[in-house]
Amino acid sequence: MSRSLFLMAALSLPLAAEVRAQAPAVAPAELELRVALAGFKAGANDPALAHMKAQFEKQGMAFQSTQLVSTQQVKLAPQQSASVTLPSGKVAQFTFVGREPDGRPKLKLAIGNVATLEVSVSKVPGYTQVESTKDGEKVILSVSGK
Amino acid sequence: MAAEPLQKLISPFVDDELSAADRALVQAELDRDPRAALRVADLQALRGAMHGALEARADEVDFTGFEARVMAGIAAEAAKSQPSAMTRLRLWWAETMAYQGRVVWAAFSGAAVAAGVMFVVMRPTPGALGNGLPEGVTLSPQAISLPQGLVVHSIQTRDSRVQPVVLRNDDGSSVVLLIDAADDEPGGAAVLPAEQQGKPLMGEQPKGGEL
Repeated sequence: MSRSLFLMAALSLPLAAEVRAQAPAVAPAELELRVALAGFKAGANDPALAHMKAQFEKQGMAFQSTQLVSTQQVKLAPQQSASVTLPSGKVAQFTFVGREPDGRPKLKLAIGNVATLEVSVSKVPGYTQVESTKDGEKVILSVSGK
Repeated sequence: MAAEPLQKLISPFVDDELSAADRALVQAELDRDPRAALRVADLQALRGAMHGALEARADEVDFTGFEARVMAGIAAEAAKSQPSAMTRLRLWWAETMAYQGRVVWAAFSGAAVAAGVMFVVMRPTPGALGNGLPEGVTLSPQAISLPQGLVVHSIQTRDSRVQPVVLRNDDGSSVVLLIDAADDEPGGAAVLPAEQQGKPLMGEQPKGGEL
């Protein structure tokens, strides 16, 4: 009987190690990265940017025109990065650094040589105005994900 | 003594292998029968000749190291007949299965069941919210209260002309403005809400928890 238990334990060890190796994996972050232009002169408004427009309006920034420049959907493993090129040529780099206790992704956002932000994102998009164009339009980065 | 038993005793007699009683009987017969005595004498002569010849042949052979060679041969033969590790393993397995087959199968079955249970229990599965958390994980009240949208933990600027402003909406989410003092036109500042316009943009940079 003791031999049987010993055999069972010996056979279980590698299987347990395999299962344990799989358990603590951090799920990759699925992100949507958008670049938009927003201006104070009257113009067309992209319906896809209605949420962005409303969020800035709450802060008194009443954009009269919005334009989607690019959209990128990426899936990042921990410590993986994705880049977005801004209209000025600067590059915004998003790095997936981990997850909050509630599971939402934590990102490091490096905008050229200008600034680095650590943020958490959710399915609801969040916005960062990163620069202005020569015409006075604001370049806004939108990021959402799970 | 009958002739036939005497015939059988002559060879042992010549080889000196008879008991004293039988030897006396044979000797008595030989004393009585000269022909038999003559035959025995021939046999003894032949035995002596053969013995001498064989001794001479044996003397011609060199027996130096004979024992060592024999023992080495035995050892080599034993090594050659030793089964390989795989053969021994196969034999061990066959023997184990023959005598302990039920125990082995019970162990395998137990291990398979244990592995299955562990796989089901420990497998990371997406939570109901699709947030990558394993099922059954309870969110802390603090985590639940995190606002949707962007939550800013820290901002570091490398360009002194660029100042960060974090505006928090009533739903708790934040909008971040990186304002470049060099190219920010007056119109840009004018669109900030009144309460934001009074804030010193060159002040201390926001840290996590302060935003």
